[in-house]
Amino acid sequence: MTHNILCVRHLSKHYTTGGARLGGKKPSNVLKALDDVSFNMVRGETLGVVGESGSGKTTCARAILRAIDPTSGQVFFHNNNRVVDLASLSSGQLKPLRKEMQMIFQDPFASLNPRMTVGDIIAEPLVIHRIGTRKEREDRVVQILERVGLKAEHRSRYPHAFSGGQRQRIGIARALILRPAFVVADEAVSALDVCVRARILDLLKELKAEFGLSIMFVSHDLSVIRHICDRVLVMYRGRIMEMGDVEEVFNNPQHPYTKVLLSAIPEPDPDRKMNPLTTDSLTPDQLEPLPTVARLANDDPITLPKI
Amino acid sequence: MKPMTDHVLEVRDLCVEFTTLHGITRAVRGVSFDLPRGKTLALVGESGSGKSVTSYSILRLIQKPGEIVGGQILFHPKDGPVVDIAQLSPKSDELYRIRGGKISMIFQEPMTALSPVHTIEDQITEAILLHRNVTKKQAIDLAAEMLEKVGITQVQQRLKQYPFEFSGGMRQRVVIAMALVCQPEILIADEPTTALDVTVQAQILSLIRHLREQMNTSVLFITHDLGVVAQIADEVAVMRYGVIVERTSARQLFTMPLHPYTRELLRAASLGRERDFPPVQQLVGLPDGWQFDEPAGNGVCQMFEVEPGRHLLMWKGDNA
Repeated sequence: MTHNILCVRHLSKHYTTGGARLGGKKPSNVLKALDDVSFNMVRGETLGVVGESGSGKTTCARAILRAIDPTSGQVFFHNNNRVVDLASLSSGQLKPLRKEMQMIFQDPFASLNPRMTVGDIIAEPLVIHRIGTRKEREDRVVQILERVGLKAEHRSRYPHAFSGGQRQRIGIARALILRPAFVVADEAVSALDVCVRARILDLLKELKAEFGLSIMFVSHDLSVIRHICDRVLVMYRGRIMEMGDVEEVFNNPQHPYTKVLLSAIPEPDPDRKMNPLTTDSLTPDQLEPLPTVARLANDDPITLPKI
Repeated sequence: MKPMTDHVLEVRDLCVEFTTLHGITRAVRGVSFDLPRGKTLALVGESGSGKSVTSYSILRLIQKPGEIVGGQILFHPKDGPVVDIAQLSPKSDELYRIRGGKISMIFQEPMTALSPVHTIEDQITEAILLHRNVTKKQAIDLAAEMLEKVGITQVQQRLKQYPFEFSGGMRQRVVIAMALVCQPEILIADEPTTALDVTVQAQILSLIRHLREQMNTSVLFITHDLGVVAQIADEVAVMRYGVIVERTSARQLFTMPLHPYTRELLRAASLGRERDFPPVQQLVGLPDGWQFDEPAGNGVCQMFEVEPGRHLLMWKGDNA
């Protein structure tokens, strides 16, 4: 028996850059966007993934969902007493599983089709998975709309009629209408104003408890991570440097890079001027993952039989 | 009589309107503030509060259908008479001398602020040649010197490069170098670190702080991030719906905010760490018949100095 919903092992995504073009002889380089990442995600937790731009946090989330195909590695997804390796499935085999994994996007302006009504946008996942009759779908749309703090009559309007915060609520409704077990929120509140951000985060917290969600919360914003997450992965250059309980990592960071990252948070207190450290002073040895992180890669992911 | 404090910029009752198909949007509705010489004033607010429109107005960068419809923008240069920037003709030589020369600006997005088809050298020397009476050779030397000041290494090589060869943080350093190379008296920084990673943001903030002291520039810093405000500002003005609701020193604002909106912002910014503040009435005497909330329909508003150096916006309905 395991209580992990996700066991990621040796997940990598490499891109080839440069290389010979038009008969040139330039050698190509391999960019390791995601470099041998292993971690477990506990069912029902909110797992934060934090790092600077280019650290691989979004690549990691997308590789797990198979929005991009990983170069190598396994993603064991545990659901309904079955364990599947998402990384090895074909797209046809993946489709029924997609009901269980959904995504909330960063930009509420780009992620909603401007030519669809809000009702159609939210019902689209049900249509794709052929769930319910037209009437049943409509009922579910109304139900979820009200749950995320919008009104039933909003479903006939178009996205342009909504503010950023409201659009993000629509995005959340669309992600949750299939009642998924696992949700990736990729910078879901980064585009919002502070007051709206606080409200959306509260909504996510409530919905997580109500729907029993496991949320992977990708963000560059350390204060948001601290507020909403149970555990956190700190990423740097495609690798996990440190992972652990959020309060532990924030109060007592073990990895030098985590210390650099935390020292850069501007505290809303004029008497606590920050004294930022930089990565320049760190040697390559210091930018290796912590031993605990490295060890986890060899742990047996899941004891349940695979299908 | 109070001694006159030295303000490099005084904005009085600034009003900016945008005429659209759906009517007139009053983006800035009577904003007044002073920027003390050599200090940093932060304009804080959510999107749509009018903070950027206010800062653009100071350089007269508001374009049609936007228009400055009232108020004064009094610039007090170190040498020379007071200028009301709001009254200058849009194409006057005087405005061109001020914009980029005496008052310069850094923008949020360092990629769009730089031309992709010109080298860094061309772009920085352009600003120098426009505003200072120097030869091309001297301008290049000045540019190199300024790049070193903003922490860019291998300057001679970097000068010949194009913006795409720089990282986001390095580009913002170039933009800062461009803005400061003419030694402006005022630097307007419009969300200069919003597009950057926290670690890079920390470096850019300490760079701006350091250069401000070194060059004795006054800074008007526009941001929505209260953490950044606490790190960089001496004075803070909180904007909402086109008006400033509270204006005070940074220390006062963070230890004891008075306006309900400022309190809401601070609570939202300090996620998870609940903050409670005592009721305002116990702290300062408020004038009778005035309220914090804007009344429905017509109302008048006024800034009250409730404590030395602390101003609060109060409203009064027509029927009151």
